[in-house]
Amino acid sequence: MNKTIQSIVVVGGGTAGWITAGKIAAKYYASERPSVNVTLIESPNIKIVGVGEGTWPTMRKTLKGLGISETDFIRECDATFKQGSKFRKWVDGSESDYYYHPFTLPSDFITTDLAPYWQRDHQGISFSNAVCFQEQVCESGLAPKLISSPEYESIANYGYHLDAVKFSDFLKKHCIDKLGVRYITDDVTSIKPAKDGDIESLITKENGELKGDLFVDCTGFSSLLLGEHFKVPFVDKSDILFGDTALAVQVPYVQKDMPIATQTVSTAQEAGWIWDIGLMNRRGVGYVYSSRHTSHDQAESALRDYIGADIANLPVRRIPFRCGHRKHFWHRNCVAVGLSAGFLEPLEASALLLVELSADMICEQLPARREIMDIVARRFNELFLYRWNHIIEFLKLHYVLSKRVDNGFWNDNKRSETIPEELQERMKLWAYHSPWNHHFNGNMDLFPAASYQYVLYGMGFKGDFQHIRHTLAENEYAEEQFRRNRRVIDRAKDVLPSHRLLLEKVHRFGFQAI
Amino acid sequence: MTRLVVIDKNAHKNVKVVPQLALNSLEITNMVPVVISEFVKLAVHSPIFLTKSNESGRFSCVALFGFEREENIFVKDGVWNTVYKPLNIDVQPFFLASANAGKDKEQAFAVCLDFENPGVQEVEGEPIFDPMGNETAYLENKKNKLAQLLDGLSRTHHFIDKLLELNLITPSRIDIQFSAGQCMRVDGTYTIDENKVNSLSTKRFLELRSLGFLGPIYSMVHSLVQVRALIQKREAN
Repeated sequence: MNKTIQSIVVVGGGTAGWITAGKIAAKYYASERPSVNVTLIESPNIKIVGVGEGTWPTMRKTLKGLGISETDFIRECDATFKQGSKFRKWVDGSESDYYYHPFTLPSDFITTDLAPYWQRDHQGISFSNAVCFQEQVCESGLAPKLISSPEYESIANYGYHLDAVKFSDFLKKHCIDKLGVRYITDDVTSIKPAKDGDIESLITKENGELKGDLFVDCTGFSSLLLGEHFKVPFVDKSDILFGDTALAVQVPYVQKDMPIATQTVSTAQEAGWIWDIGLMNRRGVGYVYSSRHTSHDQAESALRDYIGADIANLPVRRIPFRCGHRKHFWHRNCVAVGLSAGFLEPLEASALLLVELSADMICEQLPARREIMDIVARRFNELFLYRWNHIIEFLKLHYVLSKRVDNGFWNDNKRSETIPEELQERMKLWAYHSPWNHHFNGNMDLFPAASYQYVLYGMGFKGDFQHIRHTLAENEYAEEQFRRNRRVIDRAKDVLPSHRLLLEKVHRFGFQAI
Repeated sequence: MTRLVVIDKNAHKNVKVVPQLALNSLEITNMVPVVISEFVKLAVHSPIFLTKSNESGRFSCVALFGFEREENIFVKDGVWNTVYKPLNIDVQPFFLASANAGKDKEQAFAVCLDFENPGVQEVEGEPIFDPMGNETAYLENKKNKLAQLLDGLSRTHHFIDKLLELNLITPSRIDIQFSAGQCMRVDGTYTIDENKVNSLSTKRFLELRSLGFLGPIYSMVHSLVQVRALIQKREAN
């Protein structure tokens, strides 16, 4: 129990595995005599799942931290810029029904809560349009920056859309060639436990025994180490989030110069929602639905209706999934990152975000010795259980606020026994207070108060702010913010190039590092 | 508008250029693209910066002749009152256009004349061919400068790539306060971080010396003092 932690073995080579291995290597190999070494073992026979094509803006920091050039990343992963999400037909299902959850915070969000001012004085304009310029940037098909902007710097906040399979290959090459991660391609045939119950080593088919001090389980849905070996139970959340199946299809652009959407478009359907993501050379489209509320055939025909004639001969892949997570994530000397830890429908692109945050904490708090690992593990589990629960609540919020009644799916979603108590409590709070920093726990929360504001007010939620009327004294200041936002919109439309044009320039010229 | 035509001793035997007229018609800009071989001569009166192209985001070197986009403090009625005129100005109204590459795969270039430039005419000015159809000394001189410019451009690209590789470029916004109280800002300018140059490893530093880049690096760094001189000149005008 008292040995130093030197050897880290990552099992599985999807994006979760490579991001974790890369972050550890980038941090610890920087010194001349690294105190830890990282090995990643990947089965030559298992294909990666390859969904998870949307990121949060955090990915910029992740890539930069790995020493990756943004230009190379965009070129090699067919990546595009994602500036937020557009939710269509979530409120009442009508054709004109949409709202935005942009990545840029509301104007001056750090010091002023504009929501009560907006609700009182600016009902003619959507919340996101009143407080943020990014919806207009997206609706105009504009990029979030210029070709002369340095790598990773933004004018409007952005993450990416990317090809998950290409991204995984790209990370692999970078981690091996540039960061010096040791790579073994082999099958793990069994797990050898130590006397104290830790994992002592992995027995491999070709390479014999692979010892390690910390094992990172990135084996995807199979959760080979945490789930199968340690039998840490799976906590099913399908009583809250009903989606259990995804149909995915890759749709090529019919014409070469078609605009590329710079936001994820999520269109509500009778029993779920369809994602639509624009990559450089194709779209990724898919329907997440509850098979308890529709049939697979019906779902496929809904997807075909959405895509139209373009889908005719395209293969549709059906991916069943269980919504939920492991009871805990770090057990003894094994921690799960990625799908092995759990899966949630990709409504707010939380999958890669959780991978990044898990890897960050593993990196930052990598226990020096085995004796303190259990302390780190407990803290990790507390934090990530909190995070999983809050993502689940945030996703559920989208359904709870809907006024759709066209299917049992939407009605069931609003039944109180399907709504987590914590969310019910927060909603009671929001009936009188707009989501604001005090309702949140600093950096533990994945989604900032701003995200809740965008979704709540985008979906037509009305707060009763009567009791704070007397404090709504900064009228002139608030009005200046609204005016300023209108000026920023005009300016952004003037200077920003179209999304496709910028991407073409990145492929042709590249960004400068400074 | 420009209309570039490859010069030809038969078709253009009577063509002449009035140099002053050719310069008069140039658009006045505060930044003129320059090449590294000119840095020392330019640094006598102009600050030299790096700037990014709006079109490609790529860096080029420019000399500053004014603070506003269409301002050139050194030019009055088309006359350049400078000790040294940048090659890009001096070659006017001649240009190089890339021609088909020869068999040895070396890029070939042809000398062109801008026939929309009012300085190009057949009445008066410097003939480009003599009555025998031979190139005049005037044309020889221009061709020589075009060659210098061409060579300078490729050396300058190499120079910039090296600066980027060694991470020596740093943003250098110019904030100016004129004595009358007026403020002005020139954005999008970059320079070389002298501290970073001085803390390079000996190996890297010697590499810059062998490439002939130390001269241009220090010329650019030291040319920054000319910002002050430029302000004074502007105020005196």
